[in-house]
Order: sequence, then structure tokens, then C-alpha cells
Amino acid sequence: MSLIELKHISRSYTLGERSFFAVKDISLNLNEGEFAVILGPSGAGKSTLLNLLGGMDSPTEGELMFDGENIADYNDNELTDYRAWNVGVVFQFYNLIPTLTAYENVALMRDVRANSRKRSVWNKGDIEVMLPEDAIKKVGLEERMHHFPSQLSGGEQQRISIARAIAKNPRLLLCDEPTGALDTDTGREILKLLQDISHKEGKTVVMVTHNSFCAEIADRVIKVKNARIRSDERVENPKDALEINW
Amino acid sequence: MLLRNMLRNLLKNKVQFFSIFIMSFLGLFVFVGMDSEVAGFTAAEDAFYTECSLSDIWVQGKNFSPDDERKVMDIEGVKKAERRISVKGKALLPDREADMYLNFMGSNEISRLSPVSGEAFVPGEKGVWLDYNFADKNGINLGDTVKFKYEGKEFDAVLRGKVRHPEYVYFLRDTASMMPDYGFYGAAWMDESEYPGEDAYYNELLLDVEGIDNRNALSRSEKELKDILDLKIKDVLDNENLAVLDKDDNLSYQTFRAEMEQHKGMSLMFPIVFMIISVLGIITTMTRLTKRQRTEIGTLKALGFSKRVITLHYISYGFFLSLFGSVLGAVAGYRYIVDLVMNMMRNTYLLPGAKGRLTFSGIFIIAASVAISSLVSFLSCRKELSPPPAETLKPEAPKLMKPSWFEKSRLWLSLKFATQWNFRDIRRNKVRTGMGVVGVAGCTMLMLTAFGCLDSIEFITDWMYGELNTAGYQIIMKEDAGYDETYEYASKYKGQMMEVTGADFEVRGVRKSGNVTVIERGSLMNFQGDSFEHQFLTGKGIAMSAKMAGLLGIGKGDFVRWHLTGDDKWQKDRVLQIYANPATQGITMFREIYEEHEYDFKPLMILTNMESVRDLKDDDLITGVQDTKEMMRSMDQMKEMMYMMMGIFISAAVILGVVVLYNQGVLSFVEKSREMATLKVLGFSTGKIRGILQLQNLWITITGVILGIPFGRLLLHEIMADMPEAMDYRAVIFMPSYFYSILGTVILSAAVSFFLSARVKDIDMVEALKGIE
Repeated sequence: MSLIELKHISRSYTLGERSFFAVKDISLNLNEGEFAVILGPSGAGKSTLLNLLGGMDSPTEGELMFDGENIADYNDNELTDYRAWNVGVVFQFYNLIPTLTAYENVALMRDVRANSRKRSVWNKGDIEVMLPEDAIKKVGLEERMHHFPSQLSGGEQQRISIARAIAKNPRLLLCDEPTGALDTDTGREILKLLQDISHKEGKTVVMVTHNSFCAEIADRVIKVKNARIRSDERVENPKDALEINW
Repeated sequence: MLLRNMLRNLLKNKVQFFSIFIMSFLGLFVFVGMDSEVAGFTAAEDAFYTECSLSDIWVQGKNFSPDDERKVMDIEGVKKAERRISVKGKALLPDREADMYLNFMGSNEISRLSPVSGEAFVPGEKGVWLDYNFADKNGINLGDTVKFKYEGKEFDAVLRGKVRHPEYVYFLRDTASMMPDYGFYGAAWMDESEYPGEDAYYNELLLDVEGIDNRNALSRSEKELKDILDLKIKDVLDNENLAVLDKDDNLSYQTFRAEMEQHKGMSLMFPIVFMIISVLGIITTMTRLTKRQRTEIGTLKALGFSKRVITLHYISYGFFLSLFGSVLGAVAGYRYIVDLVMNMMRNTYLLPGAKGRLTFSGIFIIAASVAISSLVSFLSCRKELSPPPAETLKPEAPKLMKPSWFEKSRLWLSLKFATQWNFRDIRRNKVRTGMGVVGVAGCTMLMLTAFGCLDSIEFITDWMYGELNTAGYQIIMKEDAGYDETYEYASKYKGQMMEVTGADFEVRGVRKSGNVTVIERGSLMNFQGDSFEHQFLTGKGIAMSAKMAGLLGIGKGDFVRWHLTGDDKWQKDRVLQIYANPATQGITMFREIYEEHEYDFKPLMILTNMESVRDLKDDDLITGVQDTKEMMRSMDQMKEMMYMMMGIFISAAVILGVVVLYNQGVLSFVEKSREMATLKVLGFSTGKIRGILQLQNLWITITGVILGIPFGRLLLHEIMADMPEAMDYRAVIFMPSYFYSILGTVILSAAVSFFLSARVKDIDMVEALKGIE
């Protein structure tokens, strides 16, 4: 079943007198529970695509349907609400709040929900925020949960970032180069975590990367170049994340 | 969680945030302290005047008969009228003769006595009631017999009670005095039957009037009512030249009011100055905080926090800091400043039951401070909060800088690296630099005002008793001393004769009370123009004091109508000269001019420098001899008040300077640490880098000092301008004060700069140059 549908989506920017497309006329369907990788070189438009999917930016043209709702026309507040209920984000540089401990960073999600519970159209009454300790347990860092980000290694910070993303039980998990700042072994562990979240918990995971080895673990690989989709292929037998190498 | 985040950020940036807190604290500390003091005194004043039923109108100028009293009482709107004899006499103490204001009255319903100890005053009963200061300071106890002398006649009375009086909240020894010295002279009240003379001369009529309130200043309608009654009183008593006065003409009332106004003005100035600094602090701190936390803001947005929640989070920094600062400042101000100022004021103003009182203004200023701080926080963060998260998650593009014309000039190329570097740093950080300049300027301003206050008092003392009145002594003659007798004394002691009489002045409906001073030619009383230039008193007409001319809105060459209190004709003269005098306002002329107006010259004062006058004893003709040194002594009390004011100003200056400069320095240091680390890596010595930092501090200090001086002069001028109408105090700052203020500011600034720049040696080149993940 299709969770996300992109219809002729474009996003252009103006820089001085020059305007250019970061993504142009992209149409795409993403299914519930799918692990999709968007692959492409720097400047291809993959991060812009991720931002559009996450409601962190709006397209200049086209329709972006999420569960039947066109979020392309959403205003600031509606987009915030969309993010609060549906989207979890994992960043390349983790983006943990340095003044909050690992536990507090994850617990932040309860505040997000509390702030938008009453008015939200996405509040269907069946999406509960995980207890921070449960989310941290899922990423295997319960021993370190009262440490500040500066006391954690890069891999540990990324795990906390994932715990934070999944804590609100999002239907869509977006990952922007999640292994970009990590060594190979740690990167593999993180990928395994994401793969499990998708395959075992049925979450839709979209990962952006320029590393083609990472694409081997996906159910689907969408290649992007010069603001357009160049190929969209389904992978019959995705590899286990712990088996890949780069 | 965001609250925890805020608290940890506050701790992390404690210096900057503390400066915002301390500025809010100080502003409210001084404001609430002084505002509560003014409110407390005003309430006590209202209560005291109401309790004692302060006279609404005083009529002076003739011997009022019981028939006059009745006639005035019959005027519509007059509730009560009371005759009184108010004269100056002496109390004969074992060691000296003290000047006394003697009051004899038949009843005690208007301007009633307020008992401090002993019995209450009962009309018709024998005895005397003394002002409590005089009794206490001279060891006179209840039941003691006190000797008095009036017009050569000695009489005594038993002390029945120690009292306060609503017309004696503030009173001076005589018109030449500038500050009270209670106890050295005093006031006494007795029944009219104690009057020692043969014919009692009731020279005052006190009125209680329907529609004039004892509380607050006179309203417009009350003033109009007084003007109507003025005409009616003159009409029923058939005397055009009576002086009909209200409380605005009363020295005691008016001086106290002016003091309160001055305190009000000063109480407002502090929160404004500190608020400006606080606003600058918030702008720099919050702009930098949000800039540093740009990615964090983007992350929070991406995670689903609404713009409203994030905005509120950043507003709460300014909100909570100014709220806690203001509330704590208000509490501390109420706790400490009120008592400090009130205790000092109690020595000058004899008002019972004054206690600090909180007003709504305090709450209003707290609310305003919190609202401004929150708004400034909001405006400072707005830039980072408005773009979509996709944009905020990326690092900000470097600021676009175009070289200015100066940077393209040849001169630029010839400048040293330190100068170029600092110039560009200032261009990039205008607000931060502005905050430093304002802080230094404020510091210089307050220091200069502090030293200027003391200079002004010293100047006025020297001016009055060293330049204008150069006599060492003043012989005061009895009211009934004839001209020939006074002349005899003047000849014997080589003195200059002088007469000072109360008078009213009027120009185009503006009416003011003051004095007419008439002098014999001589060298002891000198005159100076408005700019202190020496001048000879005109021999062709009248000269007017600068303050009176200002109050009447006239200048040299304009006409003024005037008449002596108790005289039946108005005079009209052109003002030929303007002179400045700190203590006596009105007009001055030579004897022959006075006589041309068909008045008899009746000098009651002789100025002299002959030491032998000290041996003169009071006799039938002389009331006493006043020593100028004694009069100068009374200024010491004022100096004490000024020392306290100086203390407050200098403390505020130091706190302001240290907090602002340190905050500014830390901000600039943190921001420049990468650049400084780079310079270190490139081979610059620590001393060289410190020099660069100190150079910028020097520029800021010089600019601040240059700006602070005129503001200091302006502030001092405002403080002196708030003095009562009878005083013409000039804002004077001597050269050493400029020097001390500048030196003080520079030392403060250099110390902060030295302390901060010492941190350069601790910069870790490796740490500082790591990537900004």
C-alpha cells in the first residue's frame, strides 16, 4: 500500500538573479514498511528530496501526498504538525542537543507530542510515544543514557539520534547520510538498526546516501542525478547490513 | 526538556546572562527604593498635613484685628480663619542666644501643633511648646523654664510639650542660610497671652478653605480658587497689597516637594540607563546564542517542535532573567535603599511616620522591563527562527562584507595589522561594540555626576560666602532700630548696610514671591552675572536674580511689576541687569534707587569684616551677630547627603562599567578565539595578540569617555535644576573631577581588558581549530 506519492514534484531556488532546480519533475511512490535508499552524488538533489518528504521544505510545483493528504500546500504550522506525528529524522551529524543528556534528548519527543496533541489532524489516537528508556534500550545504549552527547562516541550519538527518531513511533523514518561521519564497523551497526526498524517493525525508512555499498541493504534503490530520478529499482534479495563492506 | 536546555544554556553563558540579570536588578533596585521612599514620604506628608490641617491660605501684610478675622470668615468658601503673630526672637540658652521663630496664637485649629511628647497645646494656657529638635539638642526637658527675648524684652515660659508643626517640616535660620541646622535655632509656640509686647501685632491670618485639599500639590482648580479668594480678601479688608499666599509659596512645603520631584526624576533615570544596557546585552547575547544554535533550532523544527514553542523557548531567556532580576532588585531596593535614603532625609525634613511604601509604578516598571526584554529576545532570535528547517539545518553563509572606501584608500594600506583587524572586527560587530561604548559612557557619566555633585556644593559655598558675600560677620539689628542708630554701627564697624524685605513679583499674570534686597554702596556684597563674570550693581535701576527672571520668563530690558509685602502700592521697573545668587531670589538695588521709589531705607543687617563685632552683645538695638563660618557649617549636612549620592553614583558606575565591559569582552573573546588560535599557529606571540584585543578596548574606552562627559554634565545640570525655587544651584565640575572620572573609567576599563586578554595564553590551538560539528 502506498504511503507516500510524489506527483511531478519540483523545487527551485533563486540565488541572486539566477534560479535553479534542486529537484525537477519527480514522481514517485513509497510503500508502507519499505526500506528505500536514495542514492546519488553530491548536489544531485537527494537531500532536497528528503527535506520535501520530511515536511522540512515545500515543493514549488507538484503534489506530495502522505496517506492521502497533499502536504505540498501545507503552511508552516501544518507542516510542523505533520513532522510531529509522522516523521522521524536521523541526521549525518546526529544533531543532538548538547545541553541535554541522551535520555533527555529522547524524552524531548514527549514534549513535541504534548505541544501538538489537541489540534492535530494526524492524532488518530493510536500513536503513542515510546518511553525514552524503551527507545534507548532498542538501540542498546541503556548503560549510557545519562551521559551528555559530548561524552558519547560518534556511533553512540547516532544510536541516540535513532532512538530519538523512533521514540515518537513515526510512520516514516528519514535518514540523511546516517553513516557519513562513522567508521565502517559502526556504520554497519547503525545500518543494521535501521534495517531492523523497517523489516521487523514495519516502518517506512528512507535513507539518503552517496555510498553505493549502503544501497545493497535496501528493498528499493532510487538513483538521483541532476535533480531528476535516473532509475528506480526494486532489490529482490537485500543483503543483511552486517554483511556489507566498504 | 526545553526548560532544562535553557537552564544549562544559562549556566554555560553565565557571564552574558548575568549581565542582563544584574542590569534588570540594578534598575529596579534603585527605582523601587527611591519610588517607595517618595511614596512613603508623600503619604506621610499628606497624612501629617491633613492631621494638622495645614493652612490653605496665609494672608500677610497688616495688623489683623478680630474684625478682619470675622470679615474674612464671612467670605463664601472660607471655613475658618485664625490670627497669629509670627516673629523672630531669641531663646536665651546658658551658653548662647539661639535664633527662634516665635508664634503666638489664640487658637490651634489651622496648622495645628502635633505633639511629640508632653502635653497638647491648649489655647489660653500658659507655657511654651518647642520644636522637639531644639529642645532635645539643647537639653531642655519638659517642665524646664525657657527664657526668650523679643524686641529687647526678656520673658520666660515653662516647657509644656515638644512638638512638630506642618509649616516647620523644613525651615532655615534666615534667608541667607542655605541648609537647615536644626537645634542651632528653633521654633516656639505660645498662647497669645504670653506675647511680651504691649500691642500685639497680628501679622498673619491663616485660612481653612472649602475646596482646597491638604493632600497632594495644588490642582489647577485649587489654584483658581485661591486667586478668586485673593481678590475677595483684599476687597473685604480694603487692602490691595496684602500678600495672599498658598502652600506653593511656603518654603517648608515647597522645598520638600522639590526634593521629592528630584528623587522621582533620579529614580526614573536609573532604570532607563540600565534598561538600555540590558537591551543591548540581550541583543548581543541572544543574537549570538541563536546564531550558535542555528542547527539546534533546525533540529528542533525538524523533530516537530512548532515555531511558537521554539520562539517561546528563546523569549523565555529574556523573560525569566529580567523577571528574576527585576523582582529581586525591587525587593532588595525596598529592603535597603528606602531605609538608607529615608534615614538621611529625616535629618532634613521633620515629618513623622514616614515609612517606605510600594506603588504600582514598581509593578509597572517590572512589567515594562520584562516586556521589553522578552520583545528584544524575540526580535534578536527572529532571524534564525523564521526560515524552514531545511535551511536552518545548514550552516549560515558567511556575512557578505564589502570593503568600505576607507579600506580601499592608501591610508588603509599604511595601517598596522592590529588597527586593520580591529577596524574590521568593529564593522562586523556594531551592536557588541555599541554596547561597550554605551557602558563606558554610562560609567564616565555617573562618575562625573558624582564628583560634580560635590564640586557644585563646594562651589556654591565658596561662591556665596567667598565671592558674593565677602563679609565675615553680619550684625542683625532689631526691627525697631532706627536708621541713624544702624548707620552709627555701620560706621563704627566699617560695615555695609543692607535691607532684605519680602515681595511679590508679577509679569503677564505669572506671580512669584521673593525678596527685595537694598544695599548701601560698599565692597562686601558683590555681584556676578549669569556666567559668574564680575559685575557692578547698576546704579540706574533694579537688577534681578537670574533664577527669578527665569521663573518669570523675562530677561534684561523687560519690565516687572513688584510690591513689598505689606505695602499698598505696586511698582513697575525695567530690569537693567541680571545677576546670579544661589540663596536669595528677587531684585536688588542701591539705596538711592529704592528711595526714588519713595521707600525709606530701613537696613536691618550690616555686613562687616571687623573681628571686634564678635564682642558685641545683644542689646536694645542688636538681635545678634552671625558668623559666616557658622553659616558655612550648615552646608556640611548637604555635603553628607552629596557623599551618599556620590557613593550610589560611583558604585553604579563601577558595576555598570565592569559588567558591560566584561560581558562585551567575553563575547568578543569567545567569537574571536578561532581567529586568535589561527594567529597563534601563524606565529603571533601571546603578547602581540593581547595587544590587539587591548587596542580595541582602548578605542571603545576613548569613544565612551568622549560621549560620557556631555551626558554627565547634562545629568548634573538636571539634578541642580530640580532644586527649589528659592535656590539657584549651579552645576559645576572642576578640572580634577574630569580627570578623576576619566582616570577612573580608564583604570576600570584597562583592568577588565587586562584580565580578559590574559586568557589569550590559555587558548588551545588544537581545540580551537577543530571542525565545528
